[in-house]
Amino acid sequence: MVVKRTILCLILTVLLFGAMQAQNVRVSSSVSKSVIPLSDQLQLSLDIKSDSQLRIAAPSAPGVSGLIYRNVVNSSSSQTSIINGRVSNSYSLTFIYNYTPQKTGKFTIPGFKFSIGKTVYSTRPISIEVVDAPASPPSQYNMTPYYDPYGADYYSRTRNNGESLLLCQPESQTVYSGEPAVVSYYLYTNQMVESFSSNSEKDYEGYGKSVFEQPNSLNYENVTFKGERFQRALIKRTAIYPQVTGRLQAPTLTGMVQFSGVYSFMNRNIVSSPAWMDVKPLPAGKPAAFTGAVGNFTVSQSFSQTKVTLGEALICTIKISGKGNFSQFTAPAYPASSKFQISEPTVQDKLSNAIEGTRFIYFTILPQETGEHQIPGYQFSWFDSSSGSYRSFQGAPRTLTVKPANVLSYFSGLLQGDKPKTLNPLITAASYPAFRNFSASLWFWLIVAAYIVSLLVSGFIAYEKRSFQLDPVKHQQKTASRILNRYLRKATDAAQEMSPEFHPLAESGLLDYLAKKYGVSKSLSTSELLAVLAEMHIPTNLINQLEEFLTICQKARYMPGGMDASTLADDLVKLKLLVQALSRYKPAIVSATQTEAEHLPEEETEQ
Amino acid sequence: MRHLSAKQIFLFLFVLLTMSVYAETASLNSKPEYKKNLEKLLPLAESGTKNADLFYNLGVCYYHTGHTGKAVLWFLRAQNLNSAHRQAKENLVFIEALHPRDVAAPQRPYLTQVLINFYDFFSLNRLAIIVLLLGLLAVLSLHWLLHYPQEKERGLPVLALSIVLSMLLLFGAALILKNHRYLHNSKAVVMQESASILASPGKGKALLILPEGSVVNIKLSQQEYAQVILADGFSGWIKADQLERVVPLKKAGEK
Repeated sequence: MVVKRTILCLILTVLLFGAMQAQNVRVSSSVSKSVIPLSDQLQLSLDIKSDSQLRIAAPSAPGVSGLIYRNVVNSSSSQTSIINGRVSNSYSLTFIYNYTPQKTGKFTIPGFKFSIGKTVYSTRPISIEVVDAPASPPSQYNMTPYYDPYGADYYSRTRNNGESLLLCQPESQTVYSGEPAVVSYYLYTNQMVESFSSNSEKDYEGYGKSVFEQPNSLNYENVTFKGERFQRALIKRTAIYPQVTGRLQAPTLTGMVQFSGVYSFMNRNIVSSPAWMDVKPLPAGKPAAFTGAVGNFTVSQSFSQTKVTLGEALICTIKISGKGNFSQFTAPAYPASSKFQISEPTVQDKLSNAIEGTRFIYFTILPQETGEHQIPGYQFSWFDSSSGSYRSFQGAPRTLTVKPANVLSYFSGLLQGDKPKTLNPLITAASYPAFRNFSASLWFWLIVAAYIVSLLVSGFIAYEKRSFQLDPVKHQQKTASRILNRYLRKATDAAQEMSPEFHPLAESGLLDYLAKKYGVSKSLSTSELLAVLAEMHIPTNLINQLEEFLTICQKARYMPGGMDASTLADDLVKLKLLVQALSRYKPAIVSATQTEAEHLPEEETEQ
Repeated sequence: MRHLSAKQIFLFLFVLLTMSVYAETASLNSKPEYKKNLEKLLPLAESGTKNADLFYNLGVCYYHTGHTGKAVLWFLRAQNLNSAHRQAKENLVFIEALHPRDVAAPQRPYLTQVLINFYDFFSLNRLAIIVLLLGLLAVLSLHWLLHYPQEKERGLPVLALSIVLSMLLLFGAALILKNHRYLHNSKAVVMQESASILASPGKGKALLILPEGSVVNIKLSQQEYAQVILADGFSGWIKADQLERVVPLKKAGEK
């Protein structure tokens, strides 16, 4: 019982203590700025202070139309103080809510409402205003440092309050109208900036521009800025060509700084600091050949040759080197001359960047008359910004010798085929038939195939011929074997199987062979066949041999008991010998017409 | 006087012919006509017609309307179809001479130049015909050799066959090479006013600035960048959209 009472007392004490602690909670909210530019971020802070340590989740972010809630970060701190021997603790919990404005205007952020234990706490609504552009230099240049959740543990290389600025620095504060002015944009930072991405560039009236340099990565250098150590990296260099006089504002660059690692919540947009230049007008007294060139130039003139044949062209090259507004001036025309036809200028730039390099101006000059003629020099004027005065280049006049053309000059191109003097003219064509690649055409490959087939046939013939010449007997045997294979295969198979079908098949095959070779009808009787063969001057012994075999076949077929299986092997040998003898013999009619064919194998004649 | 001699008549006709040809050429070559010609010829080329003279004329029109890059591109395309196209070759040399570049091809030895000219003379179709003729000669030589009497000395047919086969191999190889070049020509032309050559794709400083009309050989393509080799052997990376290939890459699904 005593134990139970003790536990109950302890629980009541804890609950009472908790209730007393809850009563000491103080809640407040605030914003980083009541007026913020559209490109900036809004930070809404919720501070909860208590005498005891609190463990609560971040209350839900108040929703505001026109502001996009991004994220929330929290931090906690504690403080212990001893006053008159009495120890007291205070704990603080802070939530930072980040918002990105989407439009300008006035907004009211509703207050927080949340509970700790059974007590509900609330804060008052806060009004803010989002403006289009900062009236004064953007606040990020001397802004209140962003909330640092890790206090002194924040970047070891920086102080607690880091800064990142985008500074616009013109190369010169005073320029002449048309003189290219290089404006550099540097990122100054003492924070862990991972990257910078340009978002937009706002232009103002009164100038043209081109990119001068744009590094692909942040290459930092150490500098001292506002008495403190900073690192800076070149973001961009722009060449500006002022077109109006007076005070000129350089383009404003906007971009996003991205912080590395866990600090990525600090990413934010920054805008370059405003920068102005004074643009002075060009002085009066522009030379006639002035076409707007401003800068520091050296000019030279050269001719491709001084002796030409009438009808040939020569090239005059003007070389303008230096630093200036190459994209802003044109090439003056070449001074006219009645003795020469001079083309419009052809301009080619070889610039190392937007404002430095060399410009080549080419004129094609065509003499009109033979003789020695002087061609005036080229004139080019520019405003020298370093001396503040106009300067002119006057090329020296040149005497050109123009020789009359002759027949040989027409052929001179043959010897100088790789140096044409003029561009060849258009080709007159009534129509433009589509190009056909012969090697991809069907007929091309058909011809190639015909070549190959003819080679195969010729090769086979040559092979047969050669084998006959080398060993006629063997060749005859081979031919006979081929005949047997072709005409008497079935009969041979029947003989090997001791089949009574041998004789009919042998007779039929033999007659087929004779019909094919000698052109005799297969419907003739044996005596008629032999008579026809005799008329063809086939040797008597061959006819007798044939008669003997045919008689054997007929006996076997028609005489009762004429078929004797034991003689089949002998009959097959007789058949082979007969075929061999027949294949060896060349008919007279064939020999008469094709003397060469005597040397050819039987198969060739048959085919 | 009453009777004109044959020489006088011939001279008169020759003058008439020359004048008519000149008049026709002059009407074609008058400057305002280049734009009109361009408008007339370009749809033909865009419709897929491949003709060396058409491509050449497009190059001439582009040059006279101030588009050096396109002019060079179409002259190269004319040469790709017909490497023996003299006018296109001369115009390319002319443009190169008129627009000197930092990067120039080294001067070739005389004999090498002669060989290249010889190779250029044999256009794709000329090579195809020659290969067929040499093939016929080779087949005939082989027939001759195959059926040559065994007992006779075979030196002559063997010699004939060796010569013909060597030439066939030479011209056959040239045909294969030229056909490959016709289908996969790696040349490309800088089409923008200037193009930077970078050491690596998208990074680093520009090593060199190439003017419009510069001819490069594409070695490798990687998304937005192409590795190119210049005439003097210099290599680097260039943005692919600043170049136009002599033989455009076939799009997916295109035959």
